[in-house]
Amino acid sequence: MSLLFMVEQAIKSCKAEQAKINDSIQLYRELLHTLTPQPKTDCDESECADGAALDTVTSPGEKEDMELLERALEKALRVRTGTGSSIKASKKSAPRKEPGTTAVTSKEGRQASAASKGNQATTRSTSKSASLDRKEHKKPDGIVHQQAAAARKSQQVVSASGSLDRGQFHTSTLHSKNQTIRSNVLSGNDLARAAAISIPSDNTVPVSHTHRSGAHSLLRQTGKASDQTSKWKSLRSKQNRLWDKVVALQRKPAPGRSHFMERMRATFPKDWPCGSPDQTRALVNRLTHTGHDLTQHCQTKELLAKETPEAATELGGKANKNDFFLTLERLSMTAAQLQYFAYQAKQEWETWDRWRPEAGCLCPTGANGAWGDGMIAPLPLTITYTTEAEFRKLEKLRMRVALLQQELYLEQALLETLSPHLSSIVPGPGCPNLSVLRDMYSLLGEGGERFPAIVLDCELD
Amino acid sequence: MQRSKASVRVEVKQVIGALCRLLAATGLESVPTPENFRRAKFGGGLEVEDQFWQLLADILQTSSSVSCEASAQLGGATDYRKLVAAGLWQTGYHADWMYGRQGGEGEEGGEGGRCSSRDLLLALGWLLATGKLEILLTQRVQQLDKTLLTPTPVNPPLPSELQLDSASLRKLQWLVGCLRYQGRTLLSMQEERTRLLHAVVVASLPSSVSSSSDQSSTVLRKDCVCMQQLCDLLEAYLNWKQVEKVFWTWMDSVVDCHLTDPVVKRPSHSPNTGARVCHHGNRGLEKLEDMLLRLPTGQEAQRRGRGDVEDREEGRERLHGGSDSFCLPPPLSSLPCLPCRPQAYRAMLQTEKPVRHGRLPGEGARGGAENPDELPASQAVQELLQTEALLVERRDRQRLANRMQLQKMIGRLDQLMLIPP
Repeated sequence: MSLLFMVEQAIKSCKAEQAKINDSIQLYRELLHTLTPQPKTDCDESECADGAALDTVTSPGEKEDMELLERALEKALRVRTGTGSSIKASKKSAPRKEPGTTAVTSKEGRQASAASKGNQATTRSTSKSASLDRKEHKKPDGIVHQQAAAARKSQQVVSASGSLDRGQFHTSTLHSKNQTIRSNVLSGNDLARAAAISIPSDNTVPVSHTHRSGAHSLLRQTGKASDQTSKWKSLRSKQNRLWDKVVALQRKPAPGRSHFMERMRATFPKDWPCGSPDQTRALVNRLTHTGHDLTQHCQTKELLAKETPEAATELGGKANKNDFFLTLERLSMTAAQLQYFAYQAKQEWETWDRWRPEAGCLCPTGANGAWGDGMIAPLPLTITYTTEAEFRKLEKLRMRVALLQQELYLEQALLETLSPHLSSIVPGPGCPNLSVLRDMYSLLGEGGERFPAIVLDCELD
Repeated sequence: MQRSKASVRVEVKQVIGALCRLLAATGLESVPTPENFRRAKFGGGLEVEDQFWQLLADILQTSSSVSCEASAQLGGATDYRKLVAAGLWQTGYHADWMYGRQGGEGEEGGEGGRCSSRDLLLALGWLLATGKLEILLTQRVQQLDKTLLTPTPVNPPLPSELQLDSASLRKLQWLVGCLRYQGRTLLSMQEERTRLLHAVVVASLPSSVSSSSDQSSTVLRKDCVCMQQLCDLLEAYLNWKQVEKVFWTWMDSVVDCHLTDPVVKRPSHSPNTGARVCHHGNRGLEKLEDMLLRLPTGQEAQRRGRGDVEDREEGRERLHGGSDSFCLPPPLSSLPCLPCRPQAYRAMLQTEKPVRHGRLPGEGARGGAENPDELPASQAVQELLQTEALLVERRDRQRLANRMQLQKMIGRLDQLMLIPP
């Protein structure tokens, strides 16, 4: 297998892991959306009327987002209706709404409604909206236009989530956008209702119509939704309680179990090793790795000691120096142990192999085969943390160690692959060219991160 | 007497019922009925036998005791049986029937190849006793619990080759850079996930402020369904654990039946003498041999001299101490190994004062034998820091050695001067 392929595989699994993490990020976001109280900016008209308060809550960034969204909606509407009046209206209304929230707009509309009492003849929607006095306004075109836009947006949302339950569309389709946009759409609901009543002549009527039913079902579901949240919470705590019990029970030994195993073992052939081929294979693997590390350790140590004593300090750190003296003492001991273990593992494996059934080994590849430590994998661990910072640190470390391990494996494979070629670095025709030398040095000595300079030192005189 | 016997039978049936429910909850499709367990004890019929074949194969496949690719290739009843035999062998089980006659495939009644449903029941008991149930459970939990944190997969090094020309080396450089970049992306994504997960954990506390938003969400509903299943699963496991003892007592009686059965004879099958090829294991063995050859013990240690021999003897004695000749000594706990936990874990926010079980810090770091199921984050962090430091040291040492070697070699070349970055 090519080394390039191996690295490509590593990249692939990295990407797969990214996709997995991304999925959980999306999921958690959506969960949080429904679980945590959102800043209340929506639905209630009396609250919406309190525009000043609302303005203080929205951050500049959110305002900007909303303005952008609205502009986009306006543009979309303009394109769709193509009427001159709405173009004019949007031009008129654009500079007016600096904070740019629909909620604020409706407040303005409300304030305006008092002033426009005598002015109703000029509005287009007089006939139907008379009953809804507070929805009246001075600039009907601008407002209606906006409401229509909101309604249209809501309709898009509804149709986008057609397969989903009514009333659940907010989080399911807008999860990645920020809350403000969501609340904007929500307040759009109300406005849409208003629009449905106040502008029957407008060409968005069917739209508002469909939406109205959506809004109604939304109201119907309200009770259900908070039930759902509490159900989720109670399930979570139930799950935690159950885990606690499981962990407690797991600690208790099960004598019956081991007794059964002993009895079964007694029926096995005399030379039958305990454990399993799976475990032995893992053991062999682990021994190989430990031994490999040990060898490398010794070699490097020697090399360093021989070459430059100061190079040993290049690695820096007291810990390392300590380690330097300590390990020399311990090395032989460890090596002896290793050999002993290896001898046993070898014998064990040979026995297993002798008893292998006809069908072949069907050895599992991958995670739990060669690389797990072959012990009985217990249940998932429970790690308790106290602060978010601690949790983050833990997760970060876990990832860093995994990445480091991957890097080490890669460099190990690289060294094993390249070291046969090292002997070709001798003066003569077979010597690799400069760029190859440079790349080799960088990959083997610098992890591919930095490059040496190679100077061709030819004195022509 | 009669009555108590009957009540015992009822109890056993209930216990087996608990087991069956647990097996079903872990996602296995074909679980025999408790009644069929009983029938299997007395050597049931073909139908019972088939059910147990199926169950064993399912367990072995789901718990990845046999390679999935290999099992996908197999098909049909005989192959099914082969799969079960190979899988049981992987778990260290032995029974005569696992060894069909060489060349006599499909010869059902053949000596050694024939098994009863009781044999299969015993094999099932073995699988349960060796912890396959826990593996199945863990796998199912991983599917259901969306807040479970799973280990990042690491691709092991494989024997590989590379063309030594500048084009491939450049490509390699590029790929290595790519991998590093992907790793960094992964790190930052993971940070975001941790942040969110913490928020979810906090939100799930009963004390947290409940949502006031009036929306229901599909995601929430789906998660509720998953969690409900998870709770059912855990409950099933708890139920089983509470009555497990009765099951093992019953299994004991199955073993009794098995041993007193006149048909059963001592292992008639002798181990294969011919060279066998399990290339997975043998390749590992080759590597091991290779490692041993390179191991610096011999002259190295000798040269270093004193105390060495005693050390060795002492070590050997110590190793021999707690083990009989067939078993490995409590394996590897005395070997220097990386304290890393390739395990999935649940993150729990500790809200009140910890009530610790009197465990010394670092005691859990030994791993293996007494793997604690619970661990404070601080301890896990310590372990990981150690591992990280060790890995970094190892990497840097290796790089330094590589640099020195290459500098020396390149330095020997005429007219070339290498200036390290």
